Amino acid sequence: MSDVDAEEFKIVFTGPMGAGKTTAIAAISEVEPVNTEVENSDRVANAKESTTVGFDFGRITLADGSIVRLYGTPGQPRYRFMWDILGRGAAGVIILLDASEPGALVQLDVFVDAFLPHVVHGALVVGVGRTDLPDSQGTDAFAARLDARGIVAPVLSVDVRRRADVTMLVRTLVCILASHATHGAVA
Amino acid sequence: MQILKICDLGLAADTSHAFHSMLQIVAGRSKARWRLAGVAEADVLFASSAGSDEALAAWSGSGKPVVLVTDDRGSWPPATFVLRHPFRVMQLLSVLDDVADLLAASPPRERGNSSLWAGAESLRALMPQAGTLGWHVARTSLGDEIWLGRGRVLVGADLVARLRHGDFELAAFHPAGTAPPPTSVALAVCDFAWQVGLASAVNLAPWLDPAAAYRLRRWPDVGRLGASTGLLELCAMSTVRAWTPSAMAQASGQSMADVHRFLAAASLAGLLATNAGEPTQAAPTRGRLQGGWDRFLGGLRRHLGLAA
Repeated sequence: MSDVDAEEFKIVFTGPMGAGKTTAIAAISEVEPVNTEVENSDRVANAKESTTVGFDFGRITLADGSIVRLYGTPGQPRYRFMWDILGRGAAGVIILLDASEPGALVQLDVFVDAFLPHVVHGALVVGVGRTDLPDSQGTDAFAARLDARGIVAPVLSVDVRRRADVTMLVRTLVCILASHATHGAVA
Repeated sequence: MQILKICDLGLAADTSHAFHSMLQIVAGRSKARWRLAGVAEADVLFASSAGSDEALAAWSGSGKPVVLVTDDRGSWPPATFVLRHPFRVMQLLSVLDDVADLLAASPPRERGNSSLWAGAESLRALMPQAGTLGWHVARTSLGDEIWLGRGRVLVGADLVARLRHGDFELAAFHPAGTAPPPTSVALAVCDFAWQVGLASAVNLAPWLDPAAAYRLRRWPDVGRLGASTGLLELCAMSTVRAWTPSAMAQASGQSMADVHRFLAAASLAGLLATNAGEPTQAAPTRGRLQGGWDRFLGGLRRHLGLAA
């Protein structure tokens, strides 16, 4: 587990291509998110026109002037080196998944494996989109997958186009962090 | 927020109508969330002082706070909570807040009132076989039908929002002789169970042990079900460690009633685990998130409306 930089508070949004990371950051960032999208050259994996190859960046300025930084990772495994760079020192990680994707449960494992080691006290929240489509997995399937690994983390149905849904993800993450800070075992 | 049930008794029609209208106006302004209920289920009685002496004695003897409404301008009834008719919204709000304060500071009343838990108990008994269960039906206090069977719950479309807001009381399920209406809306059984728990009585559910320590083994889908800040905090602290109900209330600063309802909801939905021998002390301890993190966390909590 990495040490946390007390002068930086970083929340990382991750997940496979097309899960909505860029949209989620745009929904809550107070500034137009900086992103590094290029034309998607992997239309077999996902039909979206563009995809993030570096990272997305947004921010929330708090009342005292300090800044919460929001990072979105690239979704494709070939940019995995960026996952470690962005995950290092993260306060918490929000994994976004598309329940209508056939491999969504495997993708959950991939991103948990990649990011859980980086976050303090396993402050992890999973947001699952498109759970209402006919062939989609329900959130129970994702929660059960975490159960099987001994991970107790919230799994939320979300539509990241809705600001309230993205805010609920962040609120949940902050409640987990605050609970660990107040009630967690002394290190 | 504390949810309290109130029953009006013996009021004249215009007074009763005004009371019901004002209850909607005070929603969101009062210290508690008020729901109308029958006399047996109510936490508070809202009664006319014009009732018979026997009726007044029975209400006073119920052990529930009584707000007495009087038309008499010549004397003041010997009661703790009195409203003179016609009363204004702010007067009602003030009295209701006083009652809420009293109940929040009072120990829970006697447990084991079976009628309060009949719906929840029957649901709990049926849930393990819900996947293969034939149709069972229960009624709310307003007469809505709720169907349970074949791995799901079916309700009328207009009941969905009330379930979400906890505005219902549930009688026991019993086998149904007919099928549910085709226009019914389907809910996941565990979601419905969570809602039943949150709408339950203020006391600890009869099947839970006040001396046992409980933790969440899985979160509810708060994206689908919604959750207040208080509920999110109870979920979060219950994943850090196990708590007895009283330790959880002390550490969270939330009312015993809210903790009891959270535990009932988590238990009914199958999300709760019991831990023996795990530390449950309420005294706050410090984790490793300190220094600058306190500032960030505090600021972000305020930014998101999670803290005052």
